[in-house]
Amino acid sequence: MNAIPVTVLTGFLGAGKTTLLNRVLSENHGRHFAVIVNEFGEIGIDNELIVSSDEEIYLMNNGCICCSVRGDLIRVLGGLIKRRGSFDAILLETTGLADPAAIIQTFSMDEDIQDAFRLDSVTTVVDAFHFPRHMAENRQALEQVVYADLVILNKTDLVTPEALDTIKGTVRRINDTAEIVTAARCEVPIAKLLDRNAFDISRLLFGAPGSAGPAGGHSHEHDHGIQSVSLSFDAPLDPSRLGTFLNELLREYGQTIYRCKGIMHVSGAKQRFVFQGVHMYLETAWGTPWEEREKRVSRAVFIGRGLDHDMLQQGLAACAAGEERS
Amino acid sequence: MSFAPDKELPGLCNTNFGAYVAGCAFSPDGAVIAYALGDGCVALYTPATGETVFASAHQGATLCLAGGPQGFLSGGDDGRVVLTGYDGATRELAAFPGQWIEHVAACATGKVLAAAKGKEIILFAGDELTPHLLPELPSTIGGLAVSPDGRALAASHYDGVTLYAPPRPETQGNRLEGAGSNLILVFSPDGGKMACATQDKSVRVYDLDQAAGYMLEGYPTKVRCLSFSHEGDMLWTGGEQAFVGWPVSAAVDPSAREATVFGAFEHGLLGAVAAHPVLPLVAGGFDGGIVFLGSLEHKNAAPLLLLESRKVTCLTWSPDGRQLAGGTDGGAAFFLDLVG
Repeated sequence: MNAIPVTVLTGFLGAGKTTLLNRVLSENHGRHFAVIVNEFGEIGIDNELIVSSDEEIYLMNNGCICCSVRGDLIRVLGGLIKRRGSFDAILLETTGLADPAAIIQTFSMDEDIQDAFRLDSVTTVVDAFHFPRHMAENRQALEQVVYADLVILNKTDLVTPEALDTIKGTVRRINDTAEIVTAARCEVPIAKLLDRNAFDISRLLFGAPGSAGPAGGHSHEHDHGIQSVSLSFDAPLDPSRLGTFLNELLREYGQTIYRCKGIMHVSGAKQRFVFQGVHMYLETAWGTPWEEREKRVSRAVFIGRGLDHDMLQQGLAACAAGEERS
Repeated sequence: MSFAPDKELPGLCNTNFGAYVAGCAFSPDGAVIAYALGDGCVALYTPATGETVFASAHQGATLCLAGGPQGFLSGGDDGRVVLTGYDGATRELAAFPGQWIEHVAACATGKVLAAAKGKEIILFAGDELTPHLLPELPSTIGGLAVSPDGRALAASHYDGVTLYAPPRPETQGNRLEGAGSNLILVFSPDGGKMACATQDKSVRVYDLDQAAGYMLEGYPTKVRCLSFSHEGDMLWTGGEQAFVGWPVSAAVDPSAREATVFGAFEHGLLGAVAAHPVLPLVAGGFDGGIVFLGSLEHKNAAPLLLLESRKVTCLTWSPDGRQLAGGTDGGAAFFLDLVG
């Protein structure tokens, strides 16, 4: 039985999430959606199967703050399984202040949910007009961008091209793996939103080639201390050292490392070694094989608060194959 | 969509309801079995006549079911709590449009009928079964259970379980601690113990007689089912690719408490479990659709029947233990008369 795809729509209050939701629902796509909303807002949602779900954050692993899941989602999705057949995809609209990390972790930490559903995409709608103020006042505005695989810069008709470029730059700097599309009233082709498979580790991709920055890596500091660190290495890494390093890193710094992703060149393997993580949760897999003449380069991105660039750089460099570990 | 005798196993009758079977329950006299279905129906099967009646209890999906002498109590994602008589006549006891009723509880004596709506318990009191809302609990209810004698009602929620004894609209709830997210809740047959599965791959036992509590851990996954043995001295749990039974009598030294594990099944997790009401036997439904019968005495289990579905969602014995019924996520359901 195929896992049912779930598309998460996040973004600040008034950014245009409900407009986007209605746009998706009104298009003639031949799909039956179940819609989960936090509360029934002023704008009606035109769909047969709509469920309201009050955000309930549950801490896992004896109260570890970064191992939180959405208890309400486990319940609502568990209930929807019983109506299997009456819908073939789910749209989940979050509150403006929702933490996408807890949503992503719900899909990786609960077996029943994992068994029946798959997280297809986290789409963040950004109000281009208000974003500078939102991000200055609330860390959540930036965090929602961090977890997105698709960022819709909405209401672009209200800002100058220069202001839009600045916002794009901000988004790129804290999440250079997300796809960015612009819109005035969320007029985004539905094909952009659905079937993204963004959290399927076997299809892990970085944005534009080379967008992770120059060799040796770089980092940017921003409001609220959120930054991204992109690193690349030419020398092959030792897979078991790399695994140990990542596990220890996230155990120690999982609270402040929001996300990590990597497509790595490891010794003794024809395939790419890929990883992705959300806080302490880490997933690793073997990716596609390298092409014959392709230049094998390891690329990793860490996004979080107060990241130590040198520690990450040196830690990964120490995973190089054929060298004694210091 | 009525039950048909199995070609090979005598006493077995099969059907496929074509909808998720969310729960099943026998009437206290064992004459009627009800199945809660994802299409909103409650299906009533009477083995004596071979008849199946479909009661349209809910608009969306029937999410939960419990049996009592008044009939079968069900909750749906239409926000309704419905009592379905053995003849298939439905009566709406309460309606909360826009909400889901995910848990109902009833006891064989008929003294207690209850349902959960979000953070609140609805208690149906008196001969009229008038709904009373108990004070809101700290979070959404994860499990609801009533002791078989009807003297206690309990609801699990985040960071604990709240116990109402006796369950009356004016009773103050007694909060029992239990950190984290708490889910399915069951009472032992004598009402002296409760067990609650958690989101954290563990089970917490509350020994109410001894005013003690402890954790059972070591599961690879979340535990989806719990059942106390008829004497209340063993707790059977899912969460493993085997039957797991814990000695829970107060005489067992907690530090020496060890699980009895048998009937290893490498193809799926135990997702539904039901201790036999009279004998030291236990029925278990594994993912993949296979139902095993386990024996505590022999510490082994033998396959009983195979259902064409991915998951066995519910299993229940008749009160005398002569019949077993169950259902699955794919709609396959069975009724097995073990005595003939």
